[in-house]
Amino acid sequence: MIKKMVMDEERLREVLTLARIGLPEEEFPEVLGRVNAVLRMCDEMQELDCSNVRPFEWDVKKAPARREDVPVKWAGRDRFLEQAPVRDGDFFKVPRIIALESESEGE
Amino acid sequence: MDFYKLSAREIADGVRNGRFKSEEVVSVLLERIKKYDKKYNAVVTLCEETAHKQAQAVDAAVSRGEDPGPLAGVPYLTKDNFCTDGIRTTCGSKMLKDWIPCYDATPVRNMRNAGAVLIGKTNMDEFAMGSTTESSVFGPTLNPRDDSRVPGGSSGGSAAAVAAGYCPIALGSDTGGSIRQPSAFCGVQGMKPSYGQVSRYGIVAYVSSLDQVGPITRNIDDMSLAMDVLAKADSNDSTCDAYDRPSFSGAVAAASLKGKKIAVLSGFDKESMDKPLVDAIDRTVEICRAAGAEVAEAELPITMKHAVACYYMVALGDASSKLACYDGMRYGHHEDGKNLSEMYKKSRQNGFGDEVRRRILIGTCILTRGYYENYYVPATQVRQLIADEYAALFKNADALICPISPALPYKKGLVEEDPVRIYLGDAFTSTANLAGLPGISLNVGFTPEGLPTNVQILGPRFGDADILAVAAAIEKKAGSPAIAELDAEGGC
Repeated sequence: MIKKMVMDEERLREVLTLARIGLPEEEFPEVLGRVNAVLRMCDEMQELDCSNVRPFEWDVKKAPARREDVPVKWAGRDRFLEQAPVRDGDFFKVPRIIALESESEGE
Repeated sequence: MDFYKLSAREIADGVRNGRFKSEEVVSVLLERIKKYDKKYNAVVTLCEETAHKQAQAVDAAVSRGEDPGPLAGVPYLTKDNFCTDGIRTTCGSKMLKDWIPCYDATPVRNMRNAGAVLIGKTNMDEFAMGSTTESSVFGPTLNPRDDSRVPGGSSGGSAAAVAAGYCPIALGSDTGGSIRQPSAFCGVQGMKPSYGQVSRYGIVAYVSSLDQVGPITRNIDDMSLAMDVLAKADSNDSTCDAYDRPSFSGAVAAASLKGKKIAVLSGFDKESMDKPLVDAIDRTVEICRAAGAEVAEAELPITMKHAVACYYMVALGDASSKLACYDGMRYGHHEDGKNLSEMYKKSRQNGFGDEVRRRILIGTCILTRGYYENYYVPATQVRQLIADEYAALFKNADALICPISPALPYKKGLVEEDPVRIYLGDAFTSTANLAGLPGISLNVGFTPEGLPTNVQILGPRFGDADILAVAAAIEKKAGSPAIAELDAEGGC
C-alpha cells in the first residue's frame, strides 16, 4: 500500500530532538522543503510488491578472521584525553547531566 | 627527471633498482603540490616531515639490499577520512577540524608496509556526503581539467590530485559512487572494490553497509598494483572477507577480451544524458567487439527505477545513527551549554555543515514510526531485489558496461540550485554499493573541449580481478589519460 508521508513542522521539531541538533526557526521552511523533496523521490519505491522479500543481508565467501580476545598494546589514555574539548585532569568534563525540570523542556 | 609523470610501477621499479631515490621523487611531488594547490585546493594537509622520513627509510632499506615492498618509495595521498596516526583527520568538517587520531587505518598501514609514502591528505565533501567536493570546511576543490567545474565527489580531492600529477595513486572511499564519479569528472581511473574486499578499519564511517575503500590511478596497471596491497583480510574489520585473493596484477598482465561475455546496459533514458557520455559507451562497446568479446544488451528495470530512492533511504537511515557519536564531548567541535542536551545540540548544530545536518535529519526522520515502515523497511527489501537482478545478469555475463554519471562535470554551484538533480546523478553508481559489486571508472577519452568521458565496468561480487582485466584490455586500445595541464594562477 502506497503511503506518501510528509514531514511537517511538528515532526521536524521531534526529529531535531531525537537527532540532538539545533536548527534556527527561520531555516525550518528550507529544511522541510528539501526533506519532503527527498521523500517524494522515494515514494515510487513503495509500488513494488515486497511482501515476500526478506530484507537484504550480506553473504560471505569465507568467514572473516576473528581477533583473539586478549589485551593489546594501545596508544594510552593521554592520547585520547588530549582530544577532549573540555577536560578536568584525567576526566572528560561535561555539563550537568540530570537537568532541572525547567531546563528539560522538549526532551 | 619529470618524476611526477611516472606511474607507480615505474617509481617502485626505479627505487628498488637504485636508479633514483624515493626522497627525490617525494621532494618533486611535494613541490608540485605547493606550487599548484593554492589554486586547486585538492590537498588539505601536507605531511612533509613524515613523508621525508618515510622516503629516507625506504631508500635506506634499498641501500642495505632489502626489498621495501611492491610500492617501494611511491608517494600517495589519501582522502581525509582515513585515520592517520599523529596526522589530523578532518573528514572535511568543522566537527573534526583539529582531530588527530592515534592509529592508522588498515589501508594506510598496508600501503606503508608495501613501501608507499604518505605525502598528504585530500579534500572531500563533508563526511563524504556529496558529489561535488564543495561542502568541505576547507572550501571547494577545482577540477584540474576545467577549473570552472567541480571535480566530483566525495573523493574529489583524491581524483583531482591524481589528474594533477600530485601522485600516481590516491585512496578514496565510495559509498554511492564517491570514487568512480570524481574519477570520471577528473578523467582518471578509479575503483570501488567488492564489499568485503578491502578493510575499512580506521575509515570514518558514512554508511557501514555501503562504504568501500579503493584506489584512484592514471592507469589500470597501477590500480592492480594498489589492489594487491589493499585487498587483504583484516581481523579488525569483521566485514572484510577472509577468502584467498587472486593476484590482481597477474589478472591484468593476462588481460584479454577474447571470448568474454560483456553486457551493455540498455533501457535507460539516453536522451537525458550528455551525448559525449553515450558516445563513450558506444566506443567502448566497439573496442570490446573488435577484440573478440561477445556483446549483448541487458536491462535492469527494478534497479534503474528504484536504486536512487533505495540508496538514499538505506544511506541516510544508517548515517543518522553513525553520526550520533559526534557529541562535542570526547573529541571534535564543542560548544558550551547549560546542560548536556543543550551542549549536544549546539555542538552538532554548529559543528556539522548544512548538507550533513539535512541528511542526519532525513535519516532520523525515516527511522521514526510510520516513516520506518513506509520508507526504510521497503528500501532494505528493494535492496535485495536489486542484488537479485544483478546476480541474474551476471549468470550470463562476465562484466557490465554502463555510464557513471548522466552528466559531464557540473559547473560550480549547481548543488545549491538543484540538490535533487545531484542526488539523481547517483543512479548508475549507487547500485554497485547496494549489491556489493566491484566497479571501475575507466577513462576512454576526452571531448574536444577537454572534458573527460569515462565509462563504468561492473562485475559480480568478488569478480574484482576479472573486471580489472576487462578494464586493462579496453585501456590498451583507448589509452590511459595524461596528466592535466595546470595553471598556478587564479583559485577558489
